[in-house]
Amino acid sequence: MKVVETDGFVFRFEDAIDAFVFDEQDKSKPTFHGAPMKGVDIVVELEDKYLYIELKDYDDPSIYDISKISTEDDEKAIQDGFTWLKRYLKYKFRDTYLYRHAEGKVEKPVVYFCLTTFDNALNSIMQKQLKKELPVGKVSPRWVKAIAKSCFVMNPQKWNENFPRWPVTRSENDPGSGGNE
Amino acid sequence: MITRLSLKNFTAFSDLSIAFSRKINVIIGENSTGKTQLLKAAYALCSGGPLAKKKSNTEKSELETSLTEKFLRLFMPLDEKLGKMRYHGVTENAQLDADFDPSGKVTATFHTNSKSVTLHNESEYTQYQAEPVFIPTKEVLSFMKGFNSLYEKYGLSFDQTYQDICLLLDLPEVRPETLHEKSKWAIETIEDICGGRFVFYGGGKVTFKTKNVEYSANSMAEGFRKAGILSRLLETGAIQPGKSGPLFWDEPESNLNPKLLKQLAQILIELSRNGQQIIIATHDYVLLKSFSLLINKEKDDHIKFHSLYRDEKTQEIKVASTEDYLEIAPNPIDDAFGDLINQEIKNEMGDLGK
Repeated sequence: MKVVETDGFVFRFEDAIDAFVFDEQDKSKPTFHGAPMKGVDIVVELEDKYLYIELKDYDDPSIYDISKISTEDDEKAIQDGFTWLKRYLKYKFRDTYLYRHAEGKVEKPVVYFCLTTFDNALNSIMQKQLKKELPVGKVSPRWVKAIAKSCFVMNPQKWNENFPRWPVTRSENDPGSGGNE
Repeated sequence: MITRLSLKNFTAFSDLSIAFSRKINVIIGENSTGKTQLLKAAYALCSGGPLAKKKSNTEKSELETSLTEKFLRLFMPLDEKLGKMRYHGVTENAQLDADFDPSGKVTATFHTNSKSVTLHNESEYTQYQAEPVFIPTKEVLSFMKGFNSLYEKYGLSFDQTYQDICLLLDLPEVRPETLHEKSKWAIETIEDICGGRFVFYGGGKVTFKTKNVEYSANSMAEGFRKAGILSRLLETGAIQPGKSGPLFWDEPESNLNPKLLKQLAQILIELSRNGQQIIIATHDYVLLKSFSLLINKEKDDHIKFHSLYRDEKTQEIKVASTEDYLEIAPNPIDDAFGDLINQEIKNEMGDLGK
């Protein structure tokens, strides 16, 4: 069982070879990131895959609180926010892949998971756009492998529904925690 | 406006109570959870007071007969009897209660063999006089010519919401000086969207007129004809923000493209800001989301989402209401997107993590 705690959440991976906080800031830890690059929150190694997991805005979902739109300017701001988030998620993945390449750890297909607080419909939209931009699959005939095999954007409820052996719960140390997610 | 509706042993409902927002109400639910029945029940009860207004010194029995006829024509039970409108398998009376704002309330009951509903507080009922409007799912501009005569003469398979809307559309326009400012704005907005306006000549004859050309209304996109219905109801004063009763609209999304839906939501929100109560039923994500996006609490907007669902154990229809989009549960519209996500995960990940 590999247990990983980050950003107020705890993941438990029953069958992972390895799972760790990828963008580790604690210099004393062997997994310290230490490079001027972006990084996803968690990397998981399975027998035949790597999972990159990025958690976004659990503590402050108001940044993307679309219920606050009242004018066209607000709407544009939120749309800009959405585009910003998409780019943010994209570059987090790419920098992580590059870092892992330097580690010699890209020999297995990589699947990218982004966990957000959006509803399923918005996550579907984000997922579609992110797949196109990462990009997912072998998009050039010159490529011999894909940098991302697939990508999913979902909320934690959907994660738990689909991956009961890798449950995610709210961390007890999280000040904003109201119990299990 | 209607502030509360309670349905006991009535059609699909064993016992359901719903508190409406005075502004915007969006009802969602899977098929067969009673959305249209709920709208029709509320519409029928809102129609009762105005039915009495049309005749002076209405006797209680006359009001009961009118209301009974309204229910029968709206719900169209097979044997044209009230008894068929009772919740299946119970012996108790069917009972409908509603509270109105600024004043008025009603309790109506009937049993299996009732020839008429019984009103229990008709004096309070007739205090409520604001006439409601019900826009049914299908647009009517394409077939309203002669529809009313046919409806009166033959047993058409249309419920009375279709006759009611055709009659309202055929009313003459109100004087321009009495038209509400927001009604004018909404009419102009719809004209911009459609690139012209629908012209009503009476007797159900409708055309569509651009700057230079007049067409048959039937040649216009069905979505535009739906928008045209709203515009005409504003022109005739059937919808007068602050004066008319609730606007019930069953599935406004049918035949409207997503861009139009957002504009429609904006128009309905503006009308609600000026005193028009809106009660719609929808299956559409864009419409649902547009309301939650465009609502502005600083402008005193208020919305309630009502989710109708079947209780897993009893199979009875229940309602869960919330003011927060993200709190809507169950949300079959978003669940449909969730199912797609599940399928993609299954395709890619197989049994991993399971």
